[in-house]
Amino acid sequence: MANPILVLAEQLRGEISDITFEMLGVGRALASAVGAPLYAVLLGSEAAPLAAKLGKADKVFVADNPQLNLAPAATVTAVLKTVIDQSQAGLVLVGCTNVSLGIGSTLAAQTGLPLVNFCRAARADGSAIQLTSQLFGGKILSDVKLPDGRGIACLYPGAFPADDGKSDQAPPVEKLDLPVEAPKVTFKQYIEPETGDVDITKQNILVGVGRGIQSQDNVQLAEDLAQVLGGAVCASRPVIDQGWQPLSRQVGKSGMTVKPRVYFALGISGAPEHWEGMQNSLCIIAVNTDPKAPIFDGAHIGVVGDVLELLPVLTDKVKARKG
Amino acid sequence: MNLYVLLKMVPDTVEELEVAADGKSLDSEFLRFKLSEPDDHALEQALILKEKMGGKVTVVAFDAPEVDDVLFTALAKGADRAVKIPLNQASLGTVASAKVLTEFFAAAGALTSDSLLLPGSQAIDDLEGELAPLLAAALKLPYIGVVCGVTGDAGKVTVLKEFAGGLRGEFEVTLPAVLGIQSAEKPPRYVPVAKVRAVMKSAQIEEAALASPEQPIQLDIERMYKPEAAGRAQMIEGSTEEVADQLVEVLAKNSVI
Amino acid sequence: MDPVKLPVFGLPGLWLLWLLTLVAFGVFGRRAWQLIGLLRQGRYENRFDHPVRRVLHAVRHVLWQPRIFNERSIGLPHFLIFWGFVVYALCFNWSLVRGLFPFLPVPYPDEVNLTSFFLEVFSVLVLLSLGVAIVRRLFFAPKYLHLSLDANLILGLIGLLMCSMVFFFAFRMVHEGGAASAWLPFSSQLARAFADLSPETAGTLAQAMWWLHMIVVLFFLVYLPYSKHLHLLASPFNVFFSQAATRPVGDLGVLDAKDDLTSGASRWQELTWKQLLSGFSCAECGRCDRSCPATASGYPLQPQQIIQKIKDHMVHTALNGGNGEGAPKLIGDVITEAEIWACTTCMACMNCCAVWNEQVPLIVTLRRHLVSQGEVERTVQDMLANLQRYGNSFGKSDRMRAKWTQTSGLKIKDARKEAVEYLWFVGDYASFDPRCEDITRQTANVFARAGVDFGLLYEAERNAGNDVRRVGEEGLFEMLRDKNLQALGKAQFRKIVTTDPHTYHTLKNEYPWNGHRPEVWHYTEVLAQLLEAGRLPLQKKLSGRVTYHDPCYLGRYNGVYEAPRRVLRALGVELVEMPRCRDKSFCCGAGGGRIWMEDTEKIAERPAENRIREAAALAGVTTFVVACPKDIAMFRDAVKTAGQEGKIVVKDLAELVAEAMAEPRPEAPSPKPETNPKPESPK
Repeated sequence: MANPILVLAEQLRGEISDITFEMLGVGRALASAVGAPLYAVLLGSEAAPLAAKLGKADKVFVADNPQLNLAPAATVTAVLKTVIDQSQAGLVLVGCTNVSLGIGSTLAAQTGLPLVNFCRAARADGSAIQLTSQLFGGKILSDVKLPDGRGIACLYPGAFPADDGKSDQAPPVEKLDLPVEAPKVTFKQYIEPETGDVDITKQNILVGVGRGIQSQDNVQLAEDLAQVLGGAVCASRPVIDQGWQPLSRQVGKSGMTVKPRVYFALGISGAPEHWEGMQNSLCIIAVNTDPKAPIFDGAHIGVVGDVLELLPVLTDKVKARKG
Repeated sequence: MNLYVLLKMVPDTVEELEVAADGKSLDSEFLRFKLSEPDDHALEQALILKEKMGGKVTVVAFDAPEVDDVLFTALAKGADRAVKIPLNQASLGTVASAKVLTEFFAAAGALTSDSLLLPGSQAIDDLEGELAPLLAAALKLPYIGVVCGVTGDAGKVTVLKEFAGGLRGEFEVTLPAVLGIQSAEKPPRYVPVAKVRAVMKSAQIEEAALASPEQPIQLDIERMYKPEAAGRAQMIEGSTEEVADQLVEVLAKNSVI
Repeated sequence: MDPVKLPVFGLPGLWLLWLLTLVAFGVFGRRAWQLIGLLRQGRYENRFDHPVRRVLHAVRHVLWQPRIFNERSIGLPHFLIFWGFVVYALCFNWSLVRGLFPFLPVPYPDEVNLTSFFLEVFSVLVLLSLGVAIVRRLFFAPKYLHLSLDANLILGLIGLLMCSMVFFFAFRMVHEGGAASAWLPFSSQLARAFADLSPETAGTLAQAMWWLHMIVVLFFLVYLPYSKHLHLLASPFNVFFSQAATRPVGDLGVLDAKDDLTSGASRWQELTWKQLLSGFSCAECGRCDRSCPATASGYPLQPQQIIQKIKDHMVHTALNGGNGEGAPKLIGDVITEAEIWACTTCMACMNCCAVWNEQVPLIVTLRRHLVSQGEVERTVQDMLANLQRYGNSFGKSDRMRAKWTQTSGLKIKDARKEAVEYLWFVGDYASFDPRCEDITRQTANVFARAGVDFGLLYEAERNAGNDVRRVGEEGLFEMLRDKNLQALGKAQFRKIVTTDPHTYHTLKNEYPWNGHRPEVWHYTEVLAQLLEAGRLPLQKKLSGRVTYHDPCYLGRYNGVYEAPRRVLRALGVELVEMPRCRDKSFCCGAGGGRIWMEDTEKIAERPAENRIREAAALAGVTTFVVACPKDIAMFRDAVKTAGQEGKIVVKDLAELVAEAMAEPRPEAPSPKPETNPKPESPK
């Protein structure tokens, strides 16, 4: 049997992050391919009840210790090292997220294991693991091989389906009781997002409106869609100038740079000033009456048509789909 | 405060990136380098700390095309010392870079009880991992990344780390330490060309002679390639109903509903 | 009758005159010395070059004052008051000298028929002019005319001067027996009204009038340097020293500077003496404010205020003890950053300033200070960084500069490799902006079909630096300029043609060229030349009514008004002028780096929208013709935001030419231009 694959589960404020399920999903696939067990490690106070959600793993190591809450990378890796030693794990999966950033590298420094960053695909090749890393802001992909399947892979969030990592079954749990040194980096408190307007840079879904929305009243149609999708409305400059949306919603050169999973460009022609602010969105859906609008040159999905007609229908259909 | 900012040159993605003939690296002929953006923020954060707390800012960089301009610009902005390590950064991976820098900082007197090392939180070519945690681990210093604000105090700093959705966490870090800076409190300042030119005439870049590690990049890179071009949008046609149905599928595929 | 030989209030008249003269000239001299002392604290610049040109310029604009006539209502009155002042000032001095030295064997000017005739005629003309001026101030005051008590007091004093002279003549006539004089027609009439007075009373009154006149003039002399009417003393010098006589319009250079001026000015002492003189010369007439697109749009900038505030600040801190703790800072307290950044450098203010003040270079000087401190708004910082790195404001790789040629269907020469007649300096917007690229291709096709031998610098071209320089980043301007000159030095060409008027101005007037300046033409000029040479193969007449927008840097800066109009007329369209055309053209709002700035506060109406509405109000005009790539960007946007879509469409002159050349197209490689002015409407 090959060495186990280990997932460092990520949680924030008592909730398992999506990246954890993404890692469990791809971890499960890799584990099946190489014929190895899949383990997860979960740290932090009140961690034990959360372990039940990690059913895709064959076993979950839980270190339920308040000192491990948002603990510094060195502290987390000390725990990970113990688990790796104990379980003989070969491949370790860590999230390439803000919460977990640096843990993989620290582990690599401490164990000498090779690390592959920014992974957005992973395959088993015999006992080897082949990872695809997304470099230079997505301009270049690089295939990297871990010949003996041993190493650390940092997975890019959003690159793998989270659903594949979800399970209703509760996994077996092994409690870790480890002494934790007083860390030199201590968590003090959370600072909540500034209240007031929505921060459009943090949204997964943005419904962007341009001149094609025609009037302030019509912005409500976009608001409706954003609401059912759990996103927010943003706008191009002409709309902001008209005062139909506050400045905090402006996307583009002079506004915000956004990178949601889905960006609707509704009645936005795609002026470079706007394009600059949203070009890195993972999926751009453009709707415009003008088939020659430059937005169609860069969008992923294009629709030539009237936004005002489409919006209510789409909103209803999304509502129906979500149930 | 004894502030060290580690500046790294990365390929400029405004230029077309081409894969070299070996299929495993970038074609250097088309490559142009610019300062990694988080590093620019690290410099700004260091300058802000210096303004508030006093102290000295030293910028450190490996050799790379246009790096002198970047170092002089840093001096023009208010850094006190610029040190160049004459090893070609392009041939070193992050792991090897960290090793060289560990040696640099391990040198007698470099690290004091009020030292703060400020690399950028990450860089677009961090295939082997980020510099900040690698360096911290080797120097056995406390580390935190994705930092978006630092306030100084005696023997410690309070930092803000960005999580997601606008949520941030406040941490206290004992000095000396390594902070991976994601963004400074304020956007990096502009320094006029005339000022940089004046600095070029008056200031010096120091060189630190350090040995190159034996095995620069450890990973087994099989190939590098460009992702398939996105090209023109995939056009959806049909009645409003049909279009809406297909869009719902698109949304589902992107796992947002 | 010699007024100084009679006692006044018990004092011998001669003593009194000496006393008053010494006091008045003493106070005036002290003040004048103070003010000159302030100017001397400014930085040095050489404004003594080309003395002959300067004299001619001053003669024309001080004596003839064509710019005053730009505003009809006050043109002639001001002219007459000015000349009245000259005549009266000369005669006053004559009288004074004669009065102070009674032994001189000369008569008083009022005793000489010819001079008294002039005094008489001008007194009436000036009184009439004052009437117009007062009525204008009270009832028809134009916007931004500074309505101060000061001005009314001065007008009143001038009136008093004129009246005292006429009444002096009248009373003297009565005193001397009442004989009318053909030299004094008006006073003779007036004398009749006082015919009943006894000769003694009339004599006393005449004497009183003489003294009143002298005292008012001496008071005037004291008051003048403390009031806005200082302009009457300072502006002739201001006109003489103005850059317009010797340099390109709006030149930002300083001759023989002794200080490093790249970091501008943050204190008044860091301005040049000539810039400080502006404040003394300003007559607060408001012409600049009335012409300013920023002022019209509700931005915080009023060019006149910049000049005035600097003067007040200087006088306050240097002379009135306002220099202590908490003294206001020139930038921030006195003049806000928002004011400084609002300027589009369109030259409208300088073009109408009757005293030839130089507002635009002054504002750029203040901007240079802000840039040197890194106090530049985010978007502008990004642009400057882009220009530093890539040589264009779009942040695109310089290798992409000539990408538009790939779909032009033409093989365009590389002027670095083969000799060409015209080097086409395309510019940033025409090269990179997707809205302009197609127009650039059409321009290339027009050139090609007209048989123009042209080539490009391809990726070696850099932004010419016009906007960069006007933003106040002088070092970056020099860097871009040097790179361009280096590339141009390696290319083989005879003339330069540009798309962008901003580039045109900078290449033509702001590059040193070391004495080998090539001919620099704007493409509209080249089109006009081709037309005249019969080389434009126009295939059909276009129809419809169009209007033409004069770009600031083509028109006001370089005086090119006719070339584009000649081309338009030849195309067959009917050209309808907007009320503000030619040198009165209203800026689109993009110049001086404004195209990179964002409005943080709500403004009344963008200049470009204001302009589009002006054009849309012209009967039957459906096409708004421009000759500047930035205008394409600004006005196409403005048509949308001003809600004029479907009513008016913005087209480049080159598009219309291409349209008129369109017909038999053998291989039709380029995208087909639209044939009629139909608005594209992504609604």
